[in-house]
Amino acid sequence: MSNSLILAEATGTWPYVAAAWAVVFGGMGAYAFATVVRGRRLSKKVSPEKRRWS
Amino acid sequence: MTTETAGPLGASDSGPTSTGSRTTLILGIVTLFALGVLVLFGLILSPAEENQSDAVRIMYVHVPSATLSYVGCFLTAIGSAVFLWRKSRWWDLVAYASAEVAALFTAFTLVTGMLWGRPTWGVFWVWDARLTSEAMLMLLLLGYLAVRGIAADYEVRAKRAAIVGLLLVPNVFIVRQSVQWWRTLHQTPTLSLSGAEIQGLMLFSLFTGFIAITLSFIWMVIHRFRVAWLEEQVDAEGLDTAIADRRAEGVVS
Amino acid sequence: MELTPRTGPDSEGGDDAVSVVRGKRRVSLPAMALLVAVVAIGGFVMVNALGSATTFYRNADEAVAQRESLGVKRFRLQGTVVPGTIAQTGEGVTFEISYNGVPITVHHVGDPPEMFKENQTVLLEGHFDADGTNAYDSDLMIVKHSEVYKEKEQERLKEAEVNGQVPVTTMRSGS
Repeated sequence: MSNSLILAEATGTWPYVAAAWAVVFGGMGAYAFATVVRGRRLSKKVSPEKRRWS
Repeated sequence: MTTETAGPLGASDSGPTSTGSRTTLILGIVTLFALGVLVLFGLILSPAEENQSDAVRIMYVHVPSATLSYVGCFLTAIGSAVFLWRKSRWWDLVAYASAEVAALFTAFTLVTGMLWGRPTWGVFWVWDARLTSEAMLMLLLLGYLAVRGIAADYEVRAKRAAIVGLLLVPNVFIVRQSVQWWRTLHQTPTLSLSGAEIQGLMLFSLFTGFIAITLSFIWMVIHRFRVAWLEEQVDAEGLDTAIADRRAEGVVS
Repeated sequence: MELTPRTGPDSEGGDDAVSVVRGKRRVSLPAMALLVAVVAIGGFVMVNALGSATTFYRNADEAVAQRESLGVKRFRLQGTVVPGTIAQTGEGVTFEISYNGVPITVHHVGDPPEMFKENQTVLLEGHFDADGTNAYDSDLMIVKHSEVYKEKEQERLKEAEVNGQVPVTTMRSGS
């Protein structure tokens, strides 16, 4: 196989790599953010002595 | 919305107005650092692979996501078992929190797997035993979350969920062993007790992937657990208020 | 008159309300367990059927041994691409695969995946040719990859240039 073909392969796979990493990092970020927002909203409804984390 | 400026890590210094604490703040910072190291090694410093060239980089998020989804399933099963045994609400919430995070990581596993399959195998999906059993695991986790969503008496709902939670373990075992038991398109594990079929910076990148994704998993489960705990308190307080109000007004039939 | 946080459809006033949180619909536990067990067993059978009973693929040597019974039936075939046998055709590519030393000539219609090359293990979907020979007509090709990962040759060469010598191993600092 020629070098040019190998180079073409290399550029061809990057979009998949970028998409996969974006899904994982974006997904974790979005989930973390949503969880924290939910937590803050709920915290206001609960008396302080019931939400002491160690 | 609050006016606090702290990011999604939560602010421990502003008192317990969120699911954050000093411990999770430190954990969060360490996690972000580890994720940075993962990007550095996984996307920049590690080399391309002989056959797959850069597509191999998907492995550094795919494999740790899969592993942590299994961990989440085991945690859910343990929480379910302890709940059924001792009626422990704390463990029931541990099961709930880890099931949701496990579902997220299973989704990551499926999506990154498809994105890895297309440039390497040539197809996004094939119904081999590994992919089929992984899809089943996703459905089972969604089933678990659905059962939790059905309005019912606390005990009844938790018991139903716990039974589904216990089924996660055999399913994970099938997923894990599918590549050994049956002929699959999916390759067998790279890391095993007999050694690693990967070396140098590629192995190190995979290692950083495990560390970073594990830390993220722990952070997410802790926060999700606290949200579930707060929900319980809100429900309980709501009920207390209702009863108190009714008593004050006199019973109406 | 109703009170807002009450979610139970038939909650009563007074102390009894404590036990009525939300709903009262009860499904018996054994019934639930049975349902779940059925689903689990069904799933297991499904995986089993997909993976084992219908054989996800046949290796080239097995396919040749079963040539008679397979006829022109559709099945998946696995083998390693024999070096020096790849040739482009008008509609795709033709090459030989072999497994355990048993070769099969493949006529593939369509573009092969990017990772298709000599010595690669491929999975094909198609059937034996109607002319009765061991030629196989394929219309779907999937390239398998192993669990072994190696650094790209180019990277090693690049490193060799930098160090001014051919590296003995591909291990670098950081691990």
